[in-house]
This record gives sequence, structure tokens and C-alpha cells, in this order.
Amino acid sequence: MITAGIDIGSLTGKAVILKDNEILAWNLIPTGPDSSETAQEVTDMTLKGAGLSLDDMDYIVSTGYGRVVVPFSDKNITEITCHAKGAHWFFPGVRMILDMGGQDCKAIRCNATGKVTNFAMNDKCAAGAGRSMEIMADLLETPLEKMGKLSLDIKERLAPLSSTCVVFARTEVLGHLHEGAHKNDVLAGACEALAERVKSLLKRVGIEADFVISGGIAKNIGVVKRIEEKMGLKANICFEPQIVGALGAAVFAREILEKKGKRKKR
Amino acid sequence: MATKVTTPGKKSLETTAEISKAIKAYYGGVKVAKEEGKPIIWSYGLTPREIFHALDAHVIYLEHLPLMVGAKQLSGHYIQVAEEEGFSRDVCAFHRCFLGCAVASERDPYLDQFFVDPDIIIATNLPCMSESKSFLYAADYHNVPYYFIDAPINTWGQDIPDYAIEYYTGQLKGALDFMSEHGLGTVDWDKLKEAVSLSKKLILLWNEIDKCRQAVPTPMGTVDGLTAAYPLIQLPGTQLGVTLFERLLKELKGKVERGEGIIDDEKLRLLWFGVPPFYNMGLLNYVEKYGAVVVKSMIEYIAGGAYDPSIMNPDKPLESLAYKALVDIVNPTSENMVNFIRRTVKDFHIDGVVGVVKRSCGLLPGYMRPVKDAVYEDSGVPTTIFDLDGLDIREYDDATSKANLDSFIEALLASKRR
Repeated sequence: MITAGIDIGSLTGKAVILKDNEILAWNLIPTGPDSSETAQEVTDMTLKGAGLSLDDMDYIVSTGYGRVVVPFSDKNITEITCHAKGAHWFFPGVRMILDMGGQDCKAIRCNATGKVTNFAMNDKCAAGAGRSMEIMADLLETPLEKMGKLSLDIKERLAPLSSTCVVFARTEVLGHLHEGAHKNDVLAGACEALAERVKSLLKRVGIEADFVISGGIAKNIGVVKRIEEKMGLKANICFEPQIVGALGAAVFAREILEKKGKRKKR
Repeated sequence: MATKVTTPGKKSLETTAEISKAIKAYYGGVKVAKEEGKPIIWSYGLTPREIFHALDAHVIYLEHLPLMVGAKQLSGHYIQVAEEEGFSRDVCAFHRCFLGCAVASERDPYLDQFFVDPDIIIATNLPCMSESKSFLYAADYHNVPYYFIDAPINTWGQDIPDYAIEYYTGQLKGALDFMSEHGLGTVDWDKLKEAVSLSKKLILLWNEIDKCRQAVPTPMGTVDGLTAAYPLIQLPGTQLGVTLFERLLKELKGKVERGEGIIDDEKLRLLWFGVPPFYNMGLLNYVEKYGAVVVKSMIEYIAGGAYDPSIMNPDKPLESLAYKALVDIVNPTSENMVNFIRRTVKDFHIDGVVGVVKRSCGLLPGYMRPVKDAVYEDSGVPTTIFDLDGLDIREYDDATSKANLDSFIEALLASKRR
């Protein structure tokens, strides 16, 4: 049984192919202006990696903001449900998931089977999401992947930033830099502000010790460590936290197929 | 201003269409009255409307008018006009919208059909103090007399003490005297008693309408309900309000007998807590693709649809109106609001509560958490809460709103299947 999950997010498109319960291939690419094309492209790349074609797929589930425009999807399921399912696949004991995506951030509670029991999304502001980190990286001329590590190496003292608005935070960053603050200290402020913001979100759904972080910001050690400190918890992070939603979609595809008992004709 | 793509709500009932016509006729009447030189009052939907009907007064209500403007996707424009006048984005969107309509140098043809300048303003602090401030500004702007009815905040729940009733009754008497002094004539007490009697009939009918709506499948959802609630807002104390509700009840009884729901296969029943997006009521129909129906909304009760009608005694008209106003669920007592929502969830067989936060409101967002906890504790029914300003279309984010609804409904359906 071969199934696929396609997650078209606001900043990246992800695809995962599962054979029975094993990941055969996965991929992620930036989301372009056309979500359908992104879906096609990331799926083609992943199929190629697995040496398969679309015809070999028994069932496909799409998720993410662009889930409804994936032309070859058999069913679409929301990213909150898929993230819970994916996190549960990686860490079966999980009860709380923090998905820090490109444009939004979600705190999710789930039960022992990975079903969502409660969730909360950040409001329309991008301050708690990956885009805010991209803006900071750009402003501080620091590669995104180095931000977290540098933020832990505070030179003098953390430069506090507003946790409410990325646009205002930009102004604050410039103010700190003009006052001679070290770049690392400003990065520390940015990671701290984000961690503080997501802490509130997690508290809204109720804290659970078995905790997973998914999404691109899970790769930022500066944010992750600060969240862990604030929560007094150790976060579980899989080898590629950006594919958790797509994986969840692929697992759903498998489960649907198991129930239906027959593959989808393409 | 760029207009966002929105969908009007899909109504299902014939009587709702009649009520829509009654709304237009009401405001048309206000315009004609102004042209005939009769005094026009600006007031608020929680001022006992029965006193105005007893005086045959013509009134524009601060909260109802923005809803109508919102339904035409015009609220964003008038809100911006108020902001250009210097009102902060933190001021209630309803008040900004109304003030924008009041001070706009040019009004669009829709608003111009019924919007008229005031001759008297009767303000109150029920449910929120900011209303009195907005009306003070309007009174200065139009240079008209202003009267303030002070309502005690309800800290007692259902048992309003005599001294509070006495105090508020005094406030109403003061308002009647004030209106008499400004050309509205002397109150006809028999007419006021009749208005209280009709108001009681109206709420008894509303309670019967509610019973019909509790049927599964429901014969009437919130998209119709918000229009149907108009008689509660503006017509308590009138025969027209009673007649419209009698017709509505008859229509609903027929649907219940025939087992007709507003959708074919009703799987989930939702309660909307907070202000729905009046500029995009189609969002409430959006959930129907999942077999979900927004059966009821808190806002339908906001002008006094949630009290025990036995408190209405026509022989004590002002005292009855005082009781009705003070016990209203939005007179800031969390006990009445929370208990009311608990009861609604049970009576209407609700599967999930959708709570939307209007950031410029100083009242309703504070109820979200206690309501969520109480409903879950009581019935195990979950609540989702997200930001949505029901009036300021500029703040609306369709993708995020739908993402929240999609995920919530998916979780509800999954838990039903368990």
C-alpha cells in the first residue's frame, strides 16, 4: 500500500510518500505563487526520489492552506488534524503539539490515538510565526539556520523586543543596533519574544508533558531552548519537523485506504 | 477603499423576508418623520424601547444601524471616517461605524435612505460605558440635547434588589420628563402599560420560537435568527412585533411537523458566541458543507431575549422595564451570561461553540474563557475561540476564519465518530 501526503503551507510545500508504515521519500520546496504548481512540483520530486509515478499512489491526502487546490488529491484534511496525526506517528505518546509554521502558529492537544481534542491558533499577526524570523534574519544579515545558535551566545545582555508586532519589532531592532547592541543579543531578544508568545498559546490549550514541536522554527535551537525553559519541558523534535503535517496526511491516506479496502483509480 | 469578497447569508424562511421588509419600513418611517418635522431620537438598543413606542417616538439605534450598514459591506468605510475624525481603533467598531455615519460629509445612497440627524440623544451605560462617550461626541457635533440613563451594573444575577429597580425606574422617569421637555409630549400611561403587555407577549412568542428551533433538524439557523431577532431589538411593545413573531412561529411549527431542517443531513449543531461577521454572513452557511448548522447565536438575545417574561407586569410598567433591562445577559454579570449559555447548549443540543473575539469590545471577550470552561464542564462541549471583528470588514481574514472552522468541525466530527 503506497500513500502520499501533500502539505501546501504558506511558505513551503511538502510531500511524503509512505509504503505501508514506512517513509519511502519526502521533500520540501518553497511555495511559489501558484499552489497547484508547487504541489505538482514537490510531488514529482518526491515520486522521482522514490522511483515511483503518480499512478503508483493508492491514495493521496492534501493538507495546509493550499490543500483544496492540489489537483490530484483524493481528500483534503486540515493541517491541525494532520499535524496531530503526524506527531503521533513519530512520537506515539504525544499529547501536545506546537506547530510553528511560516505564517501562523498552532497549539494542539490530542488524545492517545492522535485525534485532536483542542487547539488554538495565533491571531492574524505573524509575530509568532516563521515569517517573523525571516524578517529578523534579513534585517540582521544572518543566515536563518544560524540564528538560533547565535542567539544562545549572548555577548552582553539580551536586547528585549516587542512580542506583539513584527513591524514594530523591526524598529526596535534598529534602535538596539544604533545603541550598539551586539547582533547576537538582538537575536536573543527576537527568539525570546517568539518563545514568550507561543508559551501563551500553549497555555490556552492546556499544558501536557509529552510535547512535540513541528514546523520550520523547530529547527531554531534558540527558540526551542527558550520554549523548553519557559515550559519546564523537553520538546520532541523529529528528523525533519517541516514534514510532520504531510506525514500525517499520508498516514490518514493509509488509514482511509485500509477502511475502504480498495485503491483510488487515477 | 478596496472591498473584500464576501458572501451574504442564505436565509431559509419566508417570515424572515417579511421582517427584512419591516426593518426597511421602520427606517423609512424615521426619514418621513424627520421630513415632517417630528423629533428624532438617537438611542441604544438596550434602552427600554417600550418607552419610545409609548411616546410614538422615532428612534435610530446605535447598534442596529451599523449592523445594517455592515450587511451591505459599508461598515469599513464609515469606521474609517470615524478614525479620520480622531477615534482610535480601540473604540468599539459599532460606535466608530455609527459615528462615521453621523459625521460623514457624504453618505452613500443606501445609508441616505434612512439615516437622519438627531434632535435628542438618549444614552445609557448598558451594557458599556463607551456608548455614552460616543453619544456625547455626537450630541456636541449635532448640538442637540443629551440625556444619560444610568444603569446599575448587575452584580446580583437574577434577583435584582428593589433599590436597584427603584433607582433605574427613577432614571427612566427622568428620561420621559426630558423627552417631554423637548417636544415629545407627555407619556400616556395606558399606552405604556399596553406596550409592556405587548412586550411580554413578544418574549413569550420568542420562547416558543426557540422551542421550535431546538428541534433536530433545526427549522431555523442563526442566519435567519439574526434578522428574526429584529422585533426583539426594535419592536418590543408594538403589535407589529407580536404579529411578525406569530407568523414566524406558525412557519416554524409547520417545518417542525414536517421534519424540515435548513439542511438535508444535519450532523453537527453549533452555537455562535460573539458578533458574527455581518458583512459576510455566508461564513455561517459555509459550515453547512460539513453537515453543520449554526443553530443559535448569543447576539440574538442581546436586546433582551433571555429573561423570564413573568417579570413583566403591565400595572407596573417602568418597574417591569427596569427589571428587564437590568437582568439582561449583557448587563455585565458573568453569572447570567454563563448560565444562559450553559442552558442554551443543553436546550439546543449543541455539539460545539464558536467563540469570536472582537478586539475593540470591552465586554464580550472577557466572557470567552468562563463560557468555554462552564460549557465544557457542564456538557463536555468544546469551544473554539479566534479573532473576528463582526463589523470591521477591514480586519476580516477569510482564510484564517475558515481554517479555524474547518479544524474545529473536523475535530467535532472525529469525536462524534468515536
